[in-house]
Amino acid sequence: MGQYLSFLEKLVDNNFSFREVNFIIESSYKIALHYLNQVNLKIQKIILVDEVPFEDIAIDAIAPLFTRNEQNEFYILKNTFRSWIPSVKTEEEALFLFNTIIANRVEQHITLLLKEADPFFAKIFESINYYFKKENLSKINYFGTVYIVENENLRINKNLIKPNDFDSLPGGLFINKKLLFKNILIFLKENTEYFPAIPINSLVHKIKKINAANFIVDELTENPTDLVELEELVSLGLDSAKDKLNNFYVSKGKLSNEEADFFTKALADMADDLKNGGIKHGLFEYLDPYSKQLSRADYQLKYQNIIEYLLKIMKKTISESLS
Amino acid sequence: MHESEYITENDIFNYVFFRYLLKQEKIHSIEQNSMYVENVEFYTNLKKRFIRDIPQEIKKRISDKIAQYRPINKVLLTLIKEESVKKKKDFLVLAADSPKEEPRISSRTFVNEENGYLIKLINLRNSERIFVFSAFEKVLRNYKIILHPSGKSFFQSDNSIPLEIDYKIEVDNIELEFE
Repeated sequence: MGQYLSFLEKLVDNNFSFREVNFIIESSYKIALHYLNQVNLKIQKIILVDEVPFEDIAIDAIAPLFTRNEQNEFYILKNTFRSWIPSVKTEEEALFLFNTIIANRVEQHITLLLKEADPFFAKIFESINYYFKKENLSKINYFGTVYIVENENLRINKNLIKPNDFDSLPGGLFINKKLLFKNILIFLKENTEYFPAIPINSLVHKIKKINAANFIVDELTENPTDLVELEELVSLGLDSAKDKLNNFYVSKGKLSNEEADFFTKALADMADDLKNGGIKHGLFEYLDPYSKQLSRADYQLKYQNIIEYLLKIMKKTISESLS
Repeated sequence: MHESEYITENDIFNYVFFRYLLKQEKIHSIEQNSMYVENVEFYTNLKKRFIRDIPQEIKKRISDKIAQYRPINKVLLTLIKEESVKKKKDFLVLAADSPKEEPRISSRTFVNEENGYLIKLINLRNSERIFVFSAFEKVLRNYKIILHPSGKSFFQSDNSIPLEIDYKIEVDNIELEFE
């Protein structure tokens, strides 16, 4: 019997050697790293903002699969194996099941990172899910990307739209939130050669770019929230970060006025990027243009924790204003 | 589209990993339709990643974050079985001849059950042959075989051929150390 099927079958009586567990964890890591490397560049830039390498993101993505419950079982894997239809009977099916489980886990982890990186992304994502649940639609994972499709149209038999092409769809399709999915799917069917499927993360980015204010809704009243101006929200976040900078780091002598000046400029650039799709690159790159000959070693020693903390404050203020 | 022509992600996966599972018409559809080129490449890249080893430094980071992962680089195998095999005489011994020493072959088996390793040590008259097997990996790569009590160690880049030592050596147990 092969290693994957044997592992899945042993989930029932929970009887593994640690060599077998190691093998499955290493395979899962390799699959996760592969999926991360296939993610489109725009998303890669956002999730790499904290300069955490892909290897560590891959490990973080698979880690929840290998937590044990009180009965000492790998309960997530066990439940998935039990509920998988059709049931897995061969080594080949077992490897495909592992591949599918890891693809879904990586996609969930990427969404989590995008939400953490960008409070607007998180809020729009929630709103999309709210409208999604009201429709006769499904989500499917196809080669590592989650798409929204019609329930009667689940069999992908044409090319799927690429993120850049999705970004170029007419803005008018994204205005009416109640007809959002219908309008996009009809447009894809009638005006393009693509299969009617909407990549969720690309949809969130597109909405944020053109229509965030209208889309951030109060789920109870279905009305746009009062705080709809992105500019205002980001400005609030920026102010709170600058307050912390001046009233803590400068007033306590932890940073000089000259250092506070380049931190302020870097924070303003970060706020601009938050408005325009999220923080785009490592935080060192925000400080580097304004500080004189800042080395990476100095940055890590003196400034990294501070700039990360200030960004957290900015995002937290925006998130609180949105909720 | 006819059912037999419909290609799923699982079909593309099988095309790359287990082509023998696909009917010829599906293989033909995948190979003739340019829409599947990127998809095939996707899983081809995954297949290549499977055969790459994970660096030790990454294994350490996995073990830091996943408690269930315990990378091992040393495994001790202990003796479980010892067999002597007398070589069959294929010549006539005359009564006047002085008794000759018979060539003897003996075999000893060392295992580490928990980790699925087995080593067969074949003692020839003046040499040793060591065969290394794993229940979990088809090919073992880059490891040292350390023979105790002497502590003598021998490097092997893989286990496709046995280690040959051209002298006799005492062995009580054997350690495998992976790079």
